[in-house]
Amino acid sequence: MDQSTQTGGVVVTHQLAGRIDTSTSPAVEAEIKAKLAAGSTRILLDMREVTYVSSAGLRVVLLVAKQAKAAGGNLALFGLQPSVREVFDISGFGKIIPIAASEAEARALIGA
Amino acid sequence: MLLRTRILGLFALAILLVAASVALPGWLVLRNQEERIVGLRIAAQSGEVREALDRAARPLTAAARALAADHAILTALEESNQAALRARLAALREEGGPLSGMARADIIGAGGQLLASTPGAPSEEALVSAEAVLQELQADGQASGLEREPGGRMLLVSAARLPQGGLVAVAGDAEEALQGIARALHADLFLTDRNDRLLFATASGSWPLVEQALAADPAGAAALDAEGKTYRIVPTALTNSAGAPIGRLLVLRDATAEARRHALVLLLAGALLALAAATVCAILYRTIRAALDPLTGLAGALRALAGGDIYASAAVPERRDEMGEIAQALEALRATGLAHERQETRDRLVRAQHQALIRREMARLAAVLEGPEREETMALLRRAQDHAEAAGTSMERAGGALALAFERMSAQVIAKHGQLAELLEARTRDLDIVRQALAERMQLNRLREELEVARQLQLSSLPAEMPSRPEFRLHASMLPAKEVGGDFYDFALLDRERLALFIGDASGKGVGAAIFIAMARSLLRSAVSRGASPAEALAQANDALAVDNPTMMFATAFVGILDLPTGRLRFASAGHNAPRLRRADGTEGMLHGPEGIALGIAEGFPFEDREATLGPGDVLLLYTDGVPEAVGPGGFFGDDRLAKVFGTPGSADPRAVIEAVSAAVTEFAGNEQQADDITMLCLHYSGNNACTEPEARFVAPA
Repeated sequence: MDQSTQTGGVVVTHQLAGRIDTSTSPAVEAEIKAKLAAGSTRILLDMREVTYVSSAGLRVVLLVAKQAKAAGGNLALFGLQPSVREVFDISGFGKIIPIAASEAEARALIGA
Repeated sequence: MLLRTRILGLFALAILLVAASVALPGWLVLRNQEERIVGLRIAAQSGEVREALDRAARPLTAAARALAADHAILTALEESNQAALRARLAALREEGGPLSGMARADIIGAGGQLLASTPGAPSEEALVSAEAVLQELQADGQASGLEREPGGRMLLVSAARLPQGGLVAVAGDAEEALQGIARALHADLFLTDRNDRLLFATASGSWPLVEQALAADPAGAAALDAEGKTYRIVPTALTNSAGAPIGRLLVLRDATAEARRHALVLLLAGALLALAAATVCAILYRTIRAALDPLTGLAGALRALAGGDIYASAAVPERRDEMGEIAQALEALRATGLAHERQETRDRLVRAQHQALIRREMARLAAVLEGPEREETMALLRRAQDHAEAAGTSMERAGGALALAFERMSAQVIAKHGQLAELLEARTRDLDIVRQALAERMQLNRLREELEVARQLQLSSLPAEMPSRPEFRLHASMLPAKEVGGDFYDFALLDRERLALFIGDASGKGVGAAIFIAMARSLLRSAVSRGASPAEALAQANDALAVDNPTMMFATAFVGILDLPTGRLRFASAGHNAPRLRRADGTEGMLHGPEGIALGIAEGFPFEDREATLGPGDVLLLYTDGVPEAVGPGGFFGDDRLAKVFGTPGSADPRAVIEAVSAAVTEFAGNEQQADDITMLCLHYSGNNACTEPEARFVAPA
């Protein structure tokens, strides 16, 4: 699970890759939380390299979305692979978490 | 030089000085006295001689006076009748006259001229010098003295004054007088003139000696020895009647006895002095000797003691003075030395014992060492022992070898100890780890037990008996991935005509998921039993679970209520996998409904019910995603494979179906560990018709 972040002050883009499951989700959670605590409350998750998201991964996304909201910011995903998109769709979380087709759209969604 | 000798010498010197200081003044005094005595003697003799001469001159003086008073003479004088004078003189010289026996008589005028003389004058010169004599006469009225006749004869002359101024001088033979003096003095007389020529001697044989003495001492007062006797010469100056010196009278007296006595006294005194000195010397010598004698002995003993011979001692008799103190001190010193030596011997012995002990203990201690270190230590110990046992080795060398061995061994033991300490530390760390592991294992065991309890609880909470109804057959199975699972299934006959079906899947696995799903299950169950529709039940459960859910746990769920008489199924889904339905004619598909959202996340979400109708022979399969997401070597099991297995016509018995699917999944998974809980609930609806297959009563999987 690789992740890298691009920071633009309040806006931050996390580039995630590989699997987000029980073993890898803690690291992702910690990273995003850290940036959030530092003031980067408008979060973009670049999901183009993500191959699989488990329920633990879903939970992490839900968690950071809620925290971003609580901090006055927002969170959006973009570049989801079909299987990953399906997971979001089936669980219904696609309805409550902004998912965009492109980065620009995602930025627009979170007002960045 | 020895102290004793020095002291004695000094004392002798002191005594000598004292003696000298006594003797010298004494001698000086004696000398002085001697001189005085000589002077006295001379004076005395002078007096004696004078007296004798005076006595001898008395008749002369008387005659001269007589003549001076003689009328005839006086008359003749007046008449200046020298012839008468001569005649008278001659007449007087007649036997019986005052001038008998007289040698000569002169009548001298006032001017000093010889007026008359008897016997006939050999010369015209008067006996005496008138002026001088007259002067003398004036002095004491008598003038007598010795005169020398031109012919050499000594005369004793006495003069008297004439009234007219002139003299009468009467002379007698001096020799007689002198002889008389000599007899009186018991000595020999020598009469010398002013040039020390002998004029008269009573014992002319002795004159050479006297002459010799005079030559040596012209003063005349001398002592001379001859023929074993000592003589003394005492001079007396002789004067004539005018008082002028005419020579000397040397009286030779025998002074032998006196001299002898004198010598004897001196000898005695000297002897006494010497004796006294000698006695004092002797006493001093004895005393000092006695005092200092022990000193030699003590000095010798002390020297020996200083040289290390502690057995030397000085045999000194007990004394109370300084010598005694020194002797005592020496003894004390010796005793100390002896004690010291004894102590030293003891110490040496003790030290040797100590060293031997140390060596023994060291040899024992060396046992903890190994290999080369041990060998080294033992070798050093052996060498130390050899040193100690070798005769003539000093304590220090033996000690030094031992110290070296000890040092080496010490270093090795310390190194060894360090190693052991490290080892111990490591083992302790290991032990700590082991203890920790043990504690954890115990905890783990406890947890496992608890999990087992929970598992039993969970499993036993699942519906035990499948309801026995002709309208349907039901089978379910749950295989938790862990001890407890996050899935649930449930079914219940709400009333005689309605069967509720539940299936759910909490996010994640394990205890957290199990608890959450337990909550979800109770919520759904109670909602449905209160008459809620599936959507309402989901909404109620969702709202309840969404409150206080900070960790964002969620659970997908599916609720269906089957109306048994009609076969109408009302259902709603909260993000759960759509069930698979196989119709009696073999067509197979998914039972899609409105997409709900998993429970616990979005409060107030509007769930929707959907309806479907089951026909007799239809088989409904509810499952969790553990089935399609089962991991195998080929990836995920997937919906396709599920569809294939489920869709394969075979037994319509729910049990058989579930078993088939299970078998397929197991086969697919191979050696892979079960990734997720695998839960299935299978319903076969036979409607109101009697079922063609015998009912199977079965028990829920244990």
